[in-house]
Amino acid sequence: MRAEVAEVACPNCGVGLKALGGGRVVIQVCTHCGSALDAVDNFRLLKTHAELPRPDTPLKLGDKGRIQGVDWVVIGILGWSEAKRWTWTDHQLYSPSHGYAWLTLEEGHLIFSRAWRGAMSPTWMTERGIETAEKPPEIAARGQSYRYYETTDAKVTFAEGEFSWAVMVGDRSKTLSFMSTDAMLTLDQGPEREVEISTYPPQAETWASFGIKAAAPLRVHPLQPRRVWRDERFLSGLGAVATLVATLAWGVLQSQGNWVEPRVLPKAGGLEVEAELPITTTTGVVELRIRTDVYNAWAGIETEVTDPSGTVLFQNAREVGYYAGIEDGESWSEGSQVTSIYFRPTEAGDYGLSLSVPEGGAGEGAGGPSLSRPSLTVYEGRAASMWMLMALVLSALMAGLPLIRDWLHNRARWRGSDWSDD
Amino acid sequence: MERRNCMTCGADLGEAFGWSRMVNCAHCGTAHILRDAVFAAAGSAGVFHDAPGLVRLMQPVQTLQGRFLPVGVVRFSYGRGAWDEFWALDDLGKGAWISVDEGDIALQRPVAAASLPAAPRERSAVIAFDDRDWTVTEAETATCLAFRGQLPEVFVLGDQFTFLNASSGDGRILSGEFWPGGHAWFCGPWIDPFDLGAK
Repeated sequence: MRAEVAEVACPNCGVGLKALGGGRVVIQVCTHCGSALDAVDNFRLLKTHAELPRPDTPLKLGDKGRIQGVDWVVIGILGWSEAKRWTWTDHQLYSPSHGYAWLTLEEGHLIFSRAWRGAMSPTWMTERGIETAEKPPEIAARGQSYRYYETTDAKVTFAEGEFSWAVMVGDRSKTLSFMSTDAMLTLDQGPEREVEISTYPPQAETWASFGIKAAAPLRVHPLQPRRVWRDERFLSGLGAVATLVATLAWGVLQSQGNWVEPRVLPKAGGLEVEAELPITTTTGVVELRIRTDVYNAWAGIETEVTDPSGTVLFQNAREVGYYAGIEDGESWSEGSQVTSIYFRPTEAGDYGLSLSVPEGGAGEGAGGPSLSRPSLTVYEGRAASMWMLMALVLSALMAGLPLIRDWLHNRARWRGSDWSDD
Repeated sequence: MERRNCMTCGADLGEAFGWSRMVNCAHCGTAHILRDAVFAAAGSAGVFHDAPGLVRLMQPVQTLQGRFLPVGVVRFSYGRGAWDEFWALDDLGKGAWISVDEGDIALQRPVAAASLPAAPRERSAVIAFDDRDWTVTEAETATCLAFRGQLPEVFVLGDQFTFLNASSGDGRILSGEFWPGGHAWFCGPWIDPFDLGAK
């Protein structure tokens, strides 16, 4: 608590300055002439900075508001700039019961920060430690993990009111920031080694408590929680049910149809296949399932299908590739040795199929096909299940809506991080 | 446990004299000292201006370290401001000091170690204690302004001592107090004011 000082007269311009802060105030900057006064030494004049550009903030000294259930009063305003491109405004808050805190206004977002004196592991981090780290360093505190976000080297461009630390216009501050899911730890690299914790207060509610109506900011702030849509959980649940139903329906549709024995003609050789497909129905579609034995290799397969009159129905080119191995004791595989081609028959009769493998190679190379002759399995009367596949994809997207939105939001939150794997 | 009455107005002073060395009459404000089985009135306990605070006399507070009942308080001035030291008992009746200064709250108990100096150190000096290096962050002079309730030590209004606070970054604060012919050290965790609840 502070000894009774209600108002002081600026020794430079004589204007009366209200003393709003408590006993830890060390600097008071005159609102009229910009003079910095030493609050610890009988408000002695330290320095004068006149005609400084005011930061754009609707808050002013003496404004009162409520954050995290505590009543605060604005006792100081600081303008900051980093590399003349990035600017923000800090408002020093004071509460007789909770001490000092900061309310930062940055791109329309309000951020609440206060001193953090709890245990951290490691207990400190330096810029050098960040530069030599191979992956983003992390700090454990409050039962959470805070990952390195950015290094800030900022300059004070404006000061007005009372402050709990000796700050002057022109002072520089270098900080390292680490972010968890909902908070940020900022390590001041100055000799005091202070740590602050920042959180994102409810914006409209906080502005309203200060009696201000502010527009919602456009960009996502790193500390901003994702806004959950009103019906998001319901939609996600509905999507999960729809995905289950569509998966079952997809399985049923896939089991429909009859096997057709192709008559493979002997004239083709090597990797080429010539066959006649005795199609008996125009209901549904025909599936040509082509199986290969590519292994850590790929192959380009070209097919041509003619209708019973000998007219070319379509030509198609497909690539199959299958790769597998063991890495760090774990087996892995990707790709497939099988591909399917679908077409809708125009009439019953013998359809002609020509299949060739003109290109391919081992690994990612193009040294020529590296496989045995492909085998062919044919089904007719398959249900046209493309719409069901689309329904399946859409319902899965709906079910995964919260996860997708989480991912997009997190990507936006971390977009401003200056960490580089290089 | 022996009950005592105020030597000025006769009001009941309570029952905590098993550990208490000083008690203040809630009725008339007279301070009493118990020293070597001699019970004596010690005069005024000072003026205690009420100030907003998260810790209040005889109102239990819940911390991450347990529940405490503040039974006594001493207010010290450091010139431009003042802070309160509450003597508080845990559920086992064990005492600790809860220091409250505008949202800076710490829970400390007496500590002793050969590495702790007997004289004050300046800001930025490093002190070895508990296998850690502690950097002095604050070094000032304090004056006793007032006291209330029951206290484990005898305080005299206007008495001055030098104190320092040191930090090692592990969430604790180490404090040293120095007066002519003596010194004492205390250590304990910072308490986040937002973690402090009334119980």
